[in-house]
Amino acid sequence: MSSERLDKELQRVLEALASAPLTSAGVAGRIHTAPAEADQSLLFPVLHGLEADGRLQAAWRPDANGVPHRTYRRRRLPTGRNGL
Amino acid sequence: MGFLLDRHGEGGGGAQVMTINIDWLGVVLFLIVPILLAIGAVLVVRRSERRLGGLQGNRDWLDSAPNATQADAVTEYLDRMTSTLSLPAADVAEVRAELDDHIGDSIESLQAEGLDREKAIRESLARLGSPDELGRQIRVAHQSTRRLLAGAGGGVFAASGGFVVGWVGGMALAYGLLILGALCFGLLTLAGVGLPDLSSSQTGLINSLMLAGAFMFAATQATRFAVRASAGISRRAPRSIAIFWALTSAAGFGWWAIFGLRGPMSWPGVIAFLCVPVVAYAAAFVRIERPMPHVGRNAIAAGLGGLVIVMLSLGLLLGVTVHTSSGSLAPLNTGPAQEVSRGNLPPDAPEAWNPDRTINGGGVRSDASGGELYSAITDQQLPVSMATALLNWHDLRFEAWHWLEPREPDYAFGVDTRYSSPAIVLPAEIHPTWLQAVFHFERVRDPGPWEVMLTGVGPDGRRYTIADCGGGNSAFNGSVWDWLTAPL
Repeated sequence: MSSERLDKELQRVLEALASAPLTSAGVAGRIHTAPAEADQSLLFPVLHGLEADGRLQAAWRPDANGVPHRTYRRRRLPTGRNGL
Repeated sequence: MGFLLDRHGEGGGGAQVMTINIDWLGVVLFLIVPILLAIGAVLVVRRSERRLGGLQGNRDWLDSAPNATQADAVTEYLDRMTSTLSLPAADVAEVRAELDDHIGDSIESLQAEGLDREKAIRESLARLGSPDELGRQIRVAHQSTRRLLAGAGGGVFAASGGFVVGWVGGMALAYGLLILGALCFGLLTLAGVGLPDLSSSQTGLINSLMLAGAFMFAATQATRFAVRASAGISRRAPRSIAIFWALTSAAGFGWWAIFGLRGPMSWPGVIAFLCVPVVAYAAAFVRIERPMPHVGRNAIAAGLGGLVIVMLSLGLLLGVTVHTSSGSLAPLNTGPAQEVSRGNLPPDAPEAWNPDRTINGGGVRSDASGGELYSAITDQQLPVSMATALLNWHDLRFEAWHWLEPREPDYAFGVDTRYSSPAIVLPAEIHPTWLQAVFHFERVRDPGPWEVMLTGVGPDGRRYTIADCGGGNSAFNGSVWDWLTAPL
């Protein structure tokens, strides 16, 4: 896996989560829209890496039907850490 | 601990004022710091264990998620992915549940786009890539170097607190067993069963076993605390880091048990100490995934209160013991008058070569090296230099003989005739008005009463006993290594 690919995926994940909290499927739906971009192999490593880094916060939240999903949201961090 | 409380007596004529000075720095170092360490370590391990024993918190409801049971292909994929995660159990369960949920959503979405279920499953899994690679990438994302360093630090901290917890628990267990044993002995004695007096003749054995047992328990707890804390903090499966702590504990506690820890020893105690590295190593692996037994707040409070009381009592007790035992050894019990057994002790020096017994036994006192300094002196009332007193003597030496205390049935007293020669012989250091030698009885395995004699070779070429310098009842006090290398 190239670092360039990883950085690109990271940037797209952060952009996807900029407006509202999303599940992993929700993030994938935002960033992997084209058939050529269907590869999700980096999605979870990036999500978990950002969470470990403190830039994302994850929690299990039930949806409208009461079904729990792991939901990610961006954390407000001091200037310099929240950027891409 | 005895140095925490320093007693000073003053006054005379039967009235004695006793003051107790408390070494507050010692109190902080030896009471407060260990208690805080123990509390901190328990909290750290508890927090870490939330990751080790299953899903974090009360998340049983995750099992009721609709995608919890997937097709065989999905289950196989998830099994393979989780097998490469090497994360704590709670993290593994969480990642698996999340992937399961994600794949379920993905399948539904693809089916909505017109794919049949089989194709949708294949496509969903294909998008995630190789399960091995996905598991590896997720593991790398969790296991940062920062977390590894934090885990190492947390492990050391938890080990320190765990040692305190284990030591207190081990001592409590040892004292509990001792009390139980004493009760059994008492009951058997009341029932008329003849038993040896272990309390007085086997104190070295009992104390060394208690010490070794408590130390072993402490080393075990320290190792287990370290593995659990560092696994939780560094987000690693306990078994993946257990080998590091196993080797560290085996080396560290093994070294401490064999070379560092000093106290009463016996062969069973030494064997128990030699088992410490093995036990510490095994403690890192045996049932390490299972959380510690839960201890309620009331039990912790009661335990800490008991710890303070026990430590203060021990400090007071040891303080008293140190002050009452320092200076001179306990006098021999004389009992009914008996002829002193001389064994192979050299005959007393003829009066002509030691006029008016110019050279006397000077007694014994503690030496800075930890040994006992025996001395012989010239009469303090007469200005006789040692050089003058020794005109008739050469090859002066102090000889320590095994000594019998008068006991029933025959009240035999004097040289223990089971020994044909002195146990320890040291050349006399000659000073202006005294002679001296430092004996390390605490490094001799065979404990018991001793008597030290000053002997010398007279003008006729024969060895004589010039002075009795006193004696005492000694017990071994050293490390396991000291015991193993002690003179026979």
